[in-house]
Amino acid sequence: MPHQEFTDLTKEERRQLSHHHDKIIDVEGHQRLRVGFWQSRFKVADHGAVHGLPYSVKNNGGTKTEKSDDNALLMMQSIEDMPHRPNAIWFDQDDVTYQGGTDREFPAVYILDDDTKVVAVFNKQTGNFVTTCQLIEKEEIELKTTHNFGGGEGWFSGQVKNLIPQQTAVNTFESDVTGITPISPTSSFENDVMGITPIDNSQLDNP
Amino acid sequence: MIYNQQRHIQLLKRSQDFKDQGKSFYKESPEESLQLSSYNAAVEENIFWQQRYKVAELMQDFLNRKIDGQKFCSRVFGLRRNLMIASDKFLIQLGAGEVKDFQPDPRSKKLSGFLGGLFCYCDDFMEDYENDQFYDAMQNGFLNFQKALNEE
Repeated sequence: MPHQEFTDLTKEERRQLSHHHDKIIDVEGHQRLRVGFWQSRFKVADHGAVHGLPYSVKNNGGTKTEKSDDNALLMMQSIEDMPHRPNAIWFDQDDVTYQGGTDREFPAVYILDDDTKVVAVFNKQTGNFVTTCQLIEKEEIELKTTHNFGGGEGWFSGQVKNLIPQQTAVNTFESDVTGITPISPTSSFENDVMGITPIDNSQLDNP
Repeated sequence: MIYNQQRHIQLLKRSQDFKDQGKSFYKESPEESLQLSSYNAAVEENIFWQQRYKVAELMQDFLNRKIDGQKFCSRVFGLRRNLMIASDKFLIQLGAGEVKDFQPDPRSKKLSGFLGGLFCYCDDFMEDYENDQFYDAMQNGFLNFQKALNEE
């Protein structure tokens, strides 16, 4: 590819470029899929753990897998194996979408390992691997009953105009700009013992 | 869905029986499997509800630019993993008969779907958290989150 053409590509487009390590999932009766090396390398740090790769646990509870070629290849191998697991389920009907209901929605193909609840997401139009994760129960129900997940049920969709957060003090964003009752961290059992910062109970816990 | 603890325990055992045979509960008995998932989801939502203040504080920190998108999403991923661990632990205790009279807080339904959406946005915008679309989505999500809490 000419240098200029490459530099004109977005990061997302560059991650979809072919690589000699790309893996193909070609199972009879299903769409041919491509597990791209670059996209896998991009996703392996945060999602390698659910594919059995070595990981460390961060202070916040998240996992980190070393972002390396070897780990990317191991995750790709795991994804390539998914259709052959005993309780793998394909979602590749015409109505299958990812992030349905948002402006980021696209037709998708999923391979779900129903034993581990690990899912691999592919773009139906390109057949390319997009992401992978372990589903929480709510997402599992959503996927199995609606053939979609990741839309957030409208929580995040739409544009909120002209809202500029204040950076000078805690809680100014809500009260100053939106008029919504702010959250007011106070010392309490939840805060001190559980590490959870409470909302003003007089506002939120009244029946 | 009306939560029924005895039925939940029964379904957990049914699921384990299929697992022991190497079979998928969903493939063998989809209706029961989805009912189990609904009960399990109620447990997850109850745990998430208990952490709502922590979630609100985290979102405020991001929206007020106290933390960047990378740190924010890293914490979201951690929050999700911790929730899954806490839920699994609870379900083991429930199945073992160690939990008495559990009933999810009915208010926990208010935030149903929030964590899943939050996670997917973070995953989708990975390494592109300075994108205005991401900030706008979080802003919108937080306002809806606040509204849900203020409706109590």
